[in-house]
Amino acid sequence: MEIKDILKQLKSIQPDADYTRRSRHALLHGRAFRGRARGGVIQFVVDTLAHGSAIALAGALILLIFAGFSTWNFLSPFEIKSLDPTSLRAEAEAIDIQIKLTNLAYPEVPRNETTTTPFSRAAAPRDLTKEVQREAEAMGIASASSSEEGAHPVTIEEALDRLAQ
Amino acid sequence: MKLSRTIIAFCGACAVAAGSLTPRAHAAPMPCDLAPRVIALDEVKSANSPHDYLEGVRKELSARKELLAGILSCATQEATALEESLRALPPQDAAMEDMKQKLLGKLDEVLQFYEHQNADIVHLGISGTQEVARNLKTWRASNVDPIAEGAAGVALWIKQQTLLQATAHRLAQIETTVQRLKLNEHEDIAAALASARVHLKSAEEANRAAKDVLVEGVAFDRALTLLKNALDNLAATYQNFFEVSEFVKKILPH
Repeated sequence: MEIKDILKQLKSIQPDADYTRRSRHALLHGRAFRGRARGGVIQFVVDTLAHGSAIALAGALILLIFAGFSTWNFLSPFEIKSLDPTSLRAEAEAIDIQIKLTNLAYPEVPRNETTTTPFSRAAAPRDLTKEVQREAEAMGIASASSSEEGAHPVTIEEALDRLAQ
Repeated sequence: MKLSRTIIAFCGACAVAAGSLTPRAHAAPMPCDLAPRVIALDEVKSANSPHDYLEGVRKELSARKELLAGILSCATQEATALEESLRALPPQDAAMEDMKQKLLGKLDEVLQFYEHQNADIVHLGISGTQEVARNLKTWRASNVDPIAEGAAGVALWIKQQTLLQATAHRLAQIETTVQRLKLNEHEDIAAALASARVHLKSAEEANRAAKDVLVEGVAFDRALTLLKNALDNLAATYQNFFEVSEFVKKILPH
């Protein structure tokens, strides 16, 4: 009899109303339920980040598809760097400058006497690039004034010729 | 000799290009314009009057001495600048260092000669200044010009070593890249790389020959021709590099 009474009481047992609501919500809206448990602000931030990351990834993919995907660029840091035309050009220009400087020291055609600077400092011909001209001036090969039109400084040899007269 | 006049200051150029000049050598050289003294002499000569002959001679002699002193001052500056440029060049092997020291020793002699000439000015007459001018011009052509040519050759050669090393390094990098991309069997790429190797080898040979000629201390024209030859071959090597770059770019998917 005692057991029967107990079983009757068990039949009348019901879950707590709040627990029922939370369980139902957990089953039907799992993520929302968990978020709500953490708090509104945190959930907002997490959601924003999640959506933001997704959008960023999608954007990157769109860029790759529509803006072009270059194997050349992709590999450049490790593989193609040595063939990068920009760095090759820079090195080739260094050789070009050296060739021009060598031609200054050893011209195939004697340069016009009027382009020489005082005390026989070499003057850069006027057809040199600005870079070579600038370097030549910085080095004392050609003074800035010597590159000006109409400048005609007297060299040591010219002065000796005048003194010999 | 204008060529050598040009070469004198050029040494400084090479040294700076090699990034080796001292701050002192970077400073702009003092202006050395002889034009005012030449003009002053011309004016005195044209103003000479038969009525005041002695005064005219005195003024002309004074103007001549001023001009000669100016010439010697400028020549001294020129030799000093060349000396500084040589000293500023980065150290090389024993043979090249020996060559540098020989040139510096000769420059010292040049500077002493100018000093003696300067001290003798006070004793000169008009004809004496004329004779000194003629002799000085001849002396400079046979003594200063070879030093200037040698110094230019040494400076150019030293600068060229950096370019040769950079080119050899670049070639090795490109060969590795081509190999990793498994493109070394590609006909055009293989041909361009083979050509680059030949050009670089020619540049190295010309560079070695230039050094031998420079160290001998004679025939600087020959040394400069070899240096130019080496540079032309380096330029050709880079042309091959550009070709390889273009071929690889065409082959790789974009």
